[in-house]
Amino acid sequence: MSNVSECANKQVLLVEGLTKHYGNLLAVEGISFSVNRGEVYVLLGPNGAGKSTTIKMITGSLVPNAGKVNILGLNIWEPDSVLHVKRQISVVPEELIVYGNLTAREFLTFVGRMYLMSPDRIRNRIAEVSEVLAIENVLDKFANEYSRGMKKRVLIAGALITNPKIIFMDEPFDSMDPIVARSLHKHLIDFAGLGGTIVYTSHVLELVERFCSRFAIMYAGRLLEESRIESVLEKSSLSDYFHGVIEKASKMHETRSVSR
Amino acid sequence: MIWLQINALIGLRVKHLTNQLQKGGCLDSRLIILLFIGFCIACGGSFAFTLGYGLKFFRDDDRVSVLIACDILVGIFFLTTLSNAFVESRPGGSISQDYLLTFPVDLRGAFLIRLLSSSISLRLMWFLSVTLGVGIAFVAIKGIGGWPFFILAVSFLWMVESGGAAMRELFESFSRSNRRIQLYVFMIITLFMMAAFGPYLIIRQTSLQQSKVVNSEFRKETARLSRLYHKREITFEDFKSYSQMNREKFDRYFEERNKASKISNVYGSLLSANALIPLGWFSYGIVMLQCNNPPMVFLCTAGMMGVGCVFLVFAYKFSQLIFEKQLLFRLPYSHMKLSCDIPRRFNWIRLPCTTNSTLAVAYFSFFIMLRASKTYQILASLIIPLGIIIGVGSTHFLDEFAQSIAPVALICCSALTLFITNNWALSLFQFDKSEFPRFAQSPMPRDQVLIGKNLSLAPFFVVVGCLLLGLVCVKFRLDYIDCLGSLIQLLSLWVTACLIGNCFFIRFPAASNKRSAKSGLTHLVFHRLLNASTLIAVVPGAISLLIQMRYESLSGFPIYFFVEMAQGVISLLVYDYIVRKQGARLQICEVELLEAYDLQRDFIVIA
Repeated sequence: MSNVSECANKQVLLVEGLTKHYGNLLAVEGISFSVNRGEVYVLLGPNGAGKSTTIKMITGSLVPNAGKVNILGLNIWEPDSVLHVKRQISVVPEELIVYGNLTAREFLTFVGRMYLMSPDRIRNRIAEVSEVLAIENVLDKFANEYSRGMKKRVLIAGALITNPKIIFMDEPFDSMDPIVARSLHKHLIDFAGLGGTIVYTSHVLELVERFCSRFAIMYAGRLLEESRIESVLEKSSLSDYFHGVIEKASKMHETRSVSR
Repeated sequence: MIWLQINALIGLRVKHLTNQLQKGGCLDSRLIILLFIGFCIACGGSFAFTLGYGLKFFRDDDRVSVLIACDILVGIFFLTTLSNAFVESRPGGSISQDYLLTFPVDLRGAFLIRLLSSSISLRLMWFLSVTLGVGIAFVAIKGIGGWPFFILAVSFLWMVESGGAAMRELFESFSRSNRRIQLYVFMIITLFMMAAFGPYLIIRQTSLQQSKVVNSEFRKETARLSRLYHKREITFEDFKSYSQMNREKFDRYFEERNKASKISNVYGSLLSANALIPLGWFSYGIVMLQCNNPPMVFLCTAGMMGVGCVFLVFAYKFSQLIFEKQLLFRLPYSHMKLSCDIPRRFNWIRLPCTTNSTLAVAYFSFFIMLRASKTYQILASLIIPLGIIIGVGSTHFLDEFAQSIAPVALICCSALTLFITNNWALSLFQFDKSEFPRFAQSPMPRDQVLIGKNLSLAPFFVVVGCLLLGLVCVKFRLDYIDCLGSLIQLLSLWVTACLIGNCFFIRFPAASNKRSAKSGLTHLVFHRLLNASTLIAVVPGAISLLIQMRYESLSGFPIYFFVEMAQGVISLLVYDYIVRKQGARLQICEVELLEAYDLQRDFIVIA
């Protein structure tokens, strides 16, 4: 990850006091963090920790109740800057949104057109990205013949063809076999090495260990710990560290619930 | 920029459709050709008919016929809009707001894209062909003065489509919310219904007032004659003859008034009702155009445009609400708990052939359906038939007419009940996308799952059926025994719809998306065919009613009631037998169904 860290010289994402509640349920409570250019930043946490909600709020798909999100120096919640920001980022949602009656090529063309890319540029980018993600063989097959892992790859290809500055991914390695995950992770490192920034959520700690510059652990809507991966790996494995933090947090959470 | 993105979406939809045809192979290609020809014939036929109709009645200046024809047209269009009748026939449609927002689109752009893409529908194309026919006829007769017709048509479409968008967003926001706001929806629907029926009641009241005025004049005149007689200013013979003349005068007045003004009164009532209800402004505007009254035409156009704008603002506000609050479709825990508790608590009311788990399935499914936006839309479609029933039943001048059409109205209402409720019956597992796989994992006998699902539909049948049939019985003053027969008929209607719905689900599993139920063309065609085939349940009742009407010697013997009783019993026996077979069949093809679900569940269905 050293080449990734070397590029980290400019802040591209700043999140301050982000809060979201659904009625009485507090989904995310005042989280703050920042990400620099070229970094791979991971949000870790158990189910219901608020990772997906955070990603949605950062990418402008969900309105926060409080807090500020600055992407590339612009507030995504400002009406004047939202489109400018969105054109420079890509989002890979958790749901496998690939139309069954479309081929990967048609789907990628649609994504490119939504980003106002020219037909030639779309064609070239599809060729480049499909080679990187090893989807050339399925480009002209219908998506409902794909496995879940393949659908995920097509979605990631959709995020890459727009040549974004930042990619946000919600559980990108979910339902992906280890071989594909490893190859994808290699390509994403290359992307980060070229100055791209990646922010993603994950449960797959083994991959996070190898593919991340910094990470944050979330639990019950709060950001508990934020650290550089190297500093953790010097002492223990990410898995041990993660479980230790979560265990401590869950005990505190239980005590707080009982005292209430 | 937004237009380029709309263009991209249209390209996607065209590709989607062509790929679907390519994949569907021979069957889908033949079906699409048949459907295309059928649709062209329907549009062409409607165009030719309305052109001929317009040429005849606009030339004759027959305003009543024009008004009634326009109202029927608006009624059909509105009913198909609300009842979801052609929702699956859209050649594409909108994609979810959440997904659109992952692209460089802001909320306003996403709203606009969804609005434009969902407006293109088959019913719209049919409506355009019909209005084109009327419009051409109008222009042919009126010349340049007929052109405002097209502006009226456009403003009407603007109003209805904006209203449809507002309704969709409203129901979507309600169905995503965990608050108990279903009650508010029903309140809104009730208020809307009252707003629609109010004018009819006012007209009825006005006509009664007129009769009262005439009667009081008659009484005053009689009293005056009586005073003159008591003052001995006139003799008893004179008083008698004057009274007789007075009576004859008023009798003649009423008779002449009824004879001569029957048509004009119907016209007047309809015209007033149209003037008061925004949905009637299209018809009202056309009549005003025929009367060469440009200010009123302008008012109607401006009014429809204005109402459309208000609806559009509402639609946008609701989509903003969904976006900002990110309302989630979640069945509250309390409902799930209730689903498990109720069967235990009310064990004593357990129906034959059911178990506790069957009732749990029924309650659970019922709550899911109660929260679906489609449910509200289907319930809202009741406005039109209820408006017609109350309108026809309340119109003072149509009493005789109402009496003569009572049996036909009853049969029509039974058919309409089936038509409306089939939307639920033929969408057995489509209200919650993970519902069928969850049941497939359970150890329950499959016939019990089906019975549970069917039982969950029963309350909707009862509500819709009782409302429609009950109102027909009351408004058209039917015999109580016939009313009872029509309520018993609900049972056989429910059984038929359920059996056909079960069969449809097993044979043609559809994509189950929580926000849409769009699926393949084959699915759509069979959906429509089976929807139509459920009407067989109405046939025995219709025949018995006709026999009852035709052979007056049998009057007094409630053939209809006994036929419905027999049909109900037979239906239940048949249901008991067939549902077991269907359960066994479901067990056999469960894996295939799960595969179909798995394939179709993961992508957003365009609808």
